[in-house]
Amino acid sequence: MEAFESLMLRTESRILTLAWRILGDRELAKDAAQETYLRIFRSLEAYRLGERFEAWMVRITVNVCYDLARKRGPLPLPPEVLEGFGTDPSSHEAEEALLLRQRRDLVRRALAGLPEAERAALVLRDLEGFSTEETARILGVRPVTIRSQAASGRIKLQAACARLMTPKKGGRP
Amino acid sequence: MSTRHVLDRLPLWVEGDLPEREAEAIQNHLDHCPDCQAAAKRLRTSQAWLRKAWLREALAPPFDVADHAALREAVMAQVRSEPSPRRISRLTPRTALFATGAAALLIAVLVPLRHRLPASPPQVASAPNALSAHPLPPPPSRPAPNPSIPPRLARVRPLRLARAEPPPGPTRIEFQTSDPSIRIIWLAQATPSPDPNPPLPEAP
Repeated sequence: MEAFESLMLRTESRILTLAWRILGDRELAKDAAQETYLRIFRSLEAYRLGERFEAWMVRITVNVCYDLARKRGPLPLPPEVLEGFGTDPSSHEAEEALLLRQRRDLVRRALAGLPEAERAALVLRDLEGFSTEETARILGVRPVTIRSQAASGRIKLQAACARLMTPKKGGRP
Repeated sequence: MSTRHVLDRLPLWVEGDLPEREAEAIQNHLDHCPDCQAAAKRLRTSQAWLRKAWLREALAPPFDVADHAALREAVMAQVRSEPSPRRISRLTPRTALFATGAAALLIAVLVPLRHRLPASPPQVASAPNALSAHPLPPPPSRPAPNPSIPPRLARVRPLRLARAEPPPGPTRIEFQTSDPSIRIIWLAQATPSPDPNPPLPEAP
């Protein structure tokens, strides 16, 4: 038990953040992390020595996130993401901070709107720092599939960012 | 490459997912094509935004100490209420093959022997003596062995070793003893050749 708690202490930050990136929802990410650790505990006997433990944990996390995302359904774009685009901030610093926050939310929402396979490929390959081959092994597909999914995700992400950043009538981007 | 656009390759090029030679060709094309240059710039921008958002999260994670503590508490409470995971002693493929073969061999020897014992003593040296102490009557239709028949050694259906993959299902190997009523049948499950790059097991 102590060993498992120690494992949690070392890895929970990464698992939580990964779940949040995949799901785009803070509360759901906490549920996903909890379910992930329970699955890890119940499946420790299935872990094979020699296999990268980190990759094994990430794979379980991705599977849990897939399950929760299916139950939840598509993530709606919350109105607060676009709320600030038409406002006129009172100072230059406030404007900068607002734009940064808006872009961050926008990217996160665009990421959450991708199909789950593309989202997982993009998060693991471009954000988590796994190579294409490692990502393919974690997700159980071929590297060429990861390249294709990541490329498609990048295109959609760019298109979503461009669409959401289009200035509203009377406002500015 | 220089005469047509490379828009479909840009999402791979932008993250270094292309072979070196193809990446160079695309770079050459971009040097002379303003349309593709603009598309590449848009892609680079959105990827930069993605990474900036990630870096900001890494520096200021959305989960605080209380979230971490609550997660740990919830998981550990559940884990303590469950039985500890135990190592299941699993048969290795080699052991399983041996056990299956031994069981099939034993059955193949004992079943005919069970019917033959009263007629004549078993010709298999390893036949258990306990069986001869309680012989069963032979079936009436079974013919008695002809002593004039010369002993035949095993008729073996050879394994096809040259195959890269084992045949589906168990391999059947038959041994015909000198007694025509005793045939040893060995059902062996061939193990597949080891995969040099095995896939990860299905995570739960």
